[in-house]
Amino acid sequence: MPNSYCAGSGKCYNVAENNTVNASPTKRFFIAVLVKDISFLDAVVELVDNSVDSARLDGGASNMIGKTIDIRYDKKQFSIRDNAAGISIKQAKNYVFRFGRPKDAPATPGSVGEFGVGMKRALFKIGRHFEVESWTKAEHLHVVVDVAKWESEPEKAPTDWTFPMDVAEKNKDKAEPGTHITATKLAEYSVQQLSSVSFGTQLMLALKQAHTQSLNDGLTITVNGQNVAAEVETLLLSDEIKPIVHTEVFYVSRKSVKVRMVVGVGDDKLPKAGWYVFCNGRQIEAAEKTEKTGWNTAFDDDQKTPKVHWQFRRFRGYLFFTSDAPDALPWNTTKTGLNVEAQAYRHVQPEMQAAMRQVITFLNQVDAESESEGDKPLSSALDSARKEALRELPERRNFFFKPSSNRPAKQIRISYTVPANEGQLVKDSLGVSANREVGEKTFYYYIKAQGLQ
Amino acid sequence: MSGSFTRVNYRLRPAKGVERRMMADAFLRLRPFGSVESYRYVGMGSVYFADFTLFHNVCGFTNLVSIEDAPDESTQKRFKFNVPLGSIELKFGHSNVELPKLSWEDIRTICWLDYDYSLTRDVLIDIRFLAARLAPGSLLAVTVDTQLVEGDSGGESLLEKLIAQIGAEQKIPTQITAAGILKEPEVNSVLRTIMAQEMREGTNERNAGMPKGQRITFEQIFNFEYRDGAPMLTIGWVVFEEGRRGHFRQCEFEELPFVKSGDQPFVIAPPFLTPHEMRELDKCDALETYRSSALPLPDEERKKYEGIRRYWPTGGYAEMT
Repeated sequence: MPNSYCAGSGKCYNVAENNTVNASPTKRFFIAVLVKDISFLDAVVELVDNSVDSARLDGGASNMIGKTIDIRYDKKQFSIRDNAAGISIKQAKNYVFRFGRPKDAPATPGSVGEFGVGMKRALFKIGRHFEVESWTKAEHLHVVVDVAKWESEPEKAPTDWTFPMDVAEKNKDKAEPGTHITATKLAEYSVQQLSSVSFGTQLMLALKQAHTQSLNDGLTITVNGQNVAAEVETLLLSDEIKPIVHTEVFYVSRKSVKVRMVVGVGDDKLPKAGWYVFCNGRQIEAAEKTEKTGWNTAFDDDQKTPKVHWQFRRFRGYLFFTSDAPDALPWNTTKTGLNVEAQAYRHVQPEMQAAMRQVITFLNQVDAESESEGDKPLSSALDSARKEALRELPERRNFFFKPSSNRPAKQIRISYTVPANEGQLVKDSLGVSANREVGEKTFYYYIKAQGLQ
Repeated sequence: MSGSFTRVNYRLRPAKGVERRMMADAFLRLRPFGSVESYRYVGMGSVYFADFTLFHNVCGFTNLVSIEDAPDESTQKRFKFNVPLGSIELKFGHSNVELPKLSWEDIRTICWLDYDYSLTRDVLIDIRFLAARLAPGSLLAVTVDTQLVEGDSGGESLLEKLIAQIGAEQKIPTQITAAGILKEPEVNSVLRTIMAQEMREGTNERNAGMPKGQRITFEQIFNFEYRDGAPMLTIGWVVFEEGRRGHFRQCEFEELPFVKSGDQPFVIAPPFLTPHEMRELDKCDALETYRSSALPLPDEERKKYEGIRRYWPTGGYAEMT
């Protein structure tokens, strides 16, 4: 019995069985699309993500001491070696090399990899030939892919795409577990990037940013033998100033997400001010200060969070999201930015705004104080506070600062310009040398003359 | 550019004068790429326009463009008053804005971006733009002050100053990032490396998808260091198609003693000699007599003059007293 198909017009057609058109992708097209939206640097970082995931899984997220990721490159070759748990033969056969994560794949709790394309996408981006060799405690495997050869194999349905695994055996030499990936026949843009005198700098900065949390947890990453240094994030803490530290567990589509929010004041460096967002240890936003994180947006009572100004240079906000379900986290597919529409992010936004407002109120007061004469209790409180690593900060729901008991009277600044020669005349007449003195003296002269006080 | 003419009398800068003459000598060697006279010269003439006059006289350029960041009208009037040649076109504005307004692909150009400040983001923007646009056979020279400028917060290390200046830590060479420190003697070399990388990135952009022989490449020919007041560095590159490397070779730049294609600079150090002494030295017909002439001169000064005497700005004696 033939199937029938009815068009919107109501007319029905008979469709013979098995009469379909071929819509399967060619390998070449598939690869081209796969690598299109990722930059070379992001591809390299993606590979490191994999190793970090593996290390976090192996040693526990908070203890990564002894875990190393070693990246080496020259103009002909790119390699990355880690000493994490390695890939088992079963994982390799069924999950690791598949494009996309099968529904039945076991979850990797707390991982960065979500869509199951990261490593493959990165490898195709970097080179036309790659090898993956891995040791678990029990097994040893080696997969080698010559992309040109793979592409030129007779076309098969994507369900039958395979890579050759030429070694799949017991780890008989008891080699240290880990994974070594080597890419050669590098793509032209890879060579250009790797030849850049500053590529190492770019990579180290990107890794330092992306994995600051893991680095602080003891992970060692080296780039051509050079250690990627961890930057310890700190906030100011004292009896007078205490940041907001708030941890919450909530559910996104029945998946548990934990968020630790830390908001307070730090160094007075404007480029560092803003929000920092981490998902499963991976930093996805740094010093973010646009509408995305609530700057310059209206609150319900019509009060606005201001645009970023010099006076807010000490503002720091951190969001650490963790979840066993990476798809519940608020990141984009390349893990390089916030997905502002993600439920997990929308959930914390009200808390963020409230926290931000508290700290900004404080910073506004600091600013007002600095413009005025007399004691500067808030500034001195800032100067005398110590820097405390984020992880050491105690939980506290609200931002705390000791308001100054004798707030100085509000001051305003009056300024005007006059021709230089006339200004000099008045200076001479007053017997002063600074422009500011001219302003002040003439101002009080007027007050006195008019009997205003 | 940007007003240094009010602080520096360019005619009293002998090292700069020597540099200009050396550059002119090198420009003449571009002949294998085409007639030198037909090149366009784009510079930053200042009110003295010394480079324009010299290059016009020596190389025969008649298509000349001067870019001057002089926003106010009275300064512009001064520039217009001082233009020495009718063929000089004046463009008032920042180089980042004015360079893109000119056409580049269809005319071989010698462009000398003679900044009076240090290597900044703006300089890198100009280099990158030109690397992506210059017609093959063109020459780009860039001069910057090598003193790194103190930022707002003060007290920074050289590395911090450099990062603040170029506005991107990503551009710092890996070896410096790895060392975590930039030492004074390395500064010029690092500035040169950063500029060359910007050239490379600009050419990479335009080369995407081009057949190998038509890809644009560049070779450094200038690496001058001198100090009339502030310490300056000039790096210059010839831009050409890979397939025309033969033309570049035919230029035989290496025959010129001041041409430096690597990290080692040619240091222009003007001698402290009187015009009398110079004239006497100029009379020596051969290097031997020059070296052994009985003039009562310190060896060091004699040596300095030896390297640059062909390029010493002779016409300037009277004005320089």
